[in-house]
Amino acid sequence: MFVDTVLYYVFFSSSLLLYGIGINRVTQIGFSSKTEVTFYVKLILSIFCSSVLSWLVTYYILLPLGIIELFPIFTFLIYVCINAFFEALIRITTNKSCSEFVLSFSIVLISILESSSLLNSLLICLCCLCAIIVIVPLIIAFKSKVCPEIKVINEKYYALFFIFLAVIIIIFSVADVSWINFLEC
Amino acid sequence: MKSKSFFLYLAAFLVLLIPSPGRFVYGFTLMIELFFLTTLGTLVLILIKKLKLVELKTVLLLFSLIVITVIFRQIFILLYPEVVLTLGFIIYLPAISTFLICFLSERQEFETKQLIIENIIRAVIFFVFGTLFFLFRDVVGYGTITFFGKHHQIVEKVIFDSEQIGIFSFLASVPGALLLSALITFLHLTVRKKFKIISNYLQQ
Repeated sequence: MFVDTVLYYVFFSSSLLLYGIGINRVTQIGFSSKTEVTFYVKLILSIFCSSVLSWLVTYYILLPLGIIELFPIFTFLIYVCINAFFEALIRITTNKSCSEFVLSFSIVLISILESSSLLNSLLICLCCLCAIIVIVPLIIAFKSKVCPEIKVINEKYYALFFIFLAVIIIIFSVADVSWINFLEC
Repeated sequence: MKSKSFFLYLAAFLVLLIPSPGRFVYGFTLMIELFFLTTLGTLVLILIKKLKLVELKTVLLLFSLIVITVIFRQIFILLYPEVVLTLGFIIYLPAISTFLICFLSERQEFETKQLIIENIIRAVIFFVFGTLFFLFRDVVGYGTITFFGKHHQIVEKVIFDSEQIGIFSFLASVPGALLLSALITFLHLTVRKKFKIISNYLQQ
């Protein structure tokens, strides 16, 4: 179960490659200036805390009341509160802003929607983050080897980047669809 | 719309289209959702401005977009549950996409009437573009056109035999959508270059 979930969310149904979660952010790798460590710490903490609280609210309040369809609204409210808390904490301590929404909220939402238990929800969050981490070295290699002359993000880079992602998906899918099925036979 | 900002919109929009299944009916549902989110989001922004709640603009806007998505999803569960079931998490993507957030956050200095007209025109352009994108994938990838039918079911009109499609069925998959997006981006780049050459020639 554990290995299945990890393989599924990191490689075969990668949140980055198949759902496009964080694709806008990873496109900027190699172009924008270095992001602070506090940004990543805040991102990870807000994802995990929001996920735990949202799952508890969904399972213990929304499910018994029969209003589980409203879970994205409650997840959003929980996420906003936790995010604001960490943002305030970072601004007070380091005097810097680390605002981020799309990537972290998408991960929280998918982890609540597709999980069967609290542990599973946390595992999905971790796998979604790992899916991005796995792709990062490949993107850096792609940027430095395929198009080192491109200094700013433009149409040409985006087009090549889309093709690169397609190739990566095919590589991951080949392992999932053909080879393992062949071995099972 | 400046060319550079349009290209960034195009890229963000294509990213939004890629995860969806290659059938026209699912893409059309997403386009309807995106259109509603754009128009209602614009109205919410105007309301926020009128009520002088600008400090809470981002949170209120995102909250409204998520509420609209939940309502839209519930309506579609009643009408076409199969579509909602297949789309799954993807139905929430437009509401939390970079495309929509940037789209709605721009042009705040415009007058109310002008803002509504501008946003609706741009929403219609993206709606048409997205619809054509999914229509192409369905026709070329599966050889069919799928649409909403009677009794909450999806109807499928077969245009040509699936055995004739061959390698083009690749376009119906996610990597195929990425490749198609790359081709569209290259095409946009080429057309823009040609137009620039023509405009430079005419100026001389």
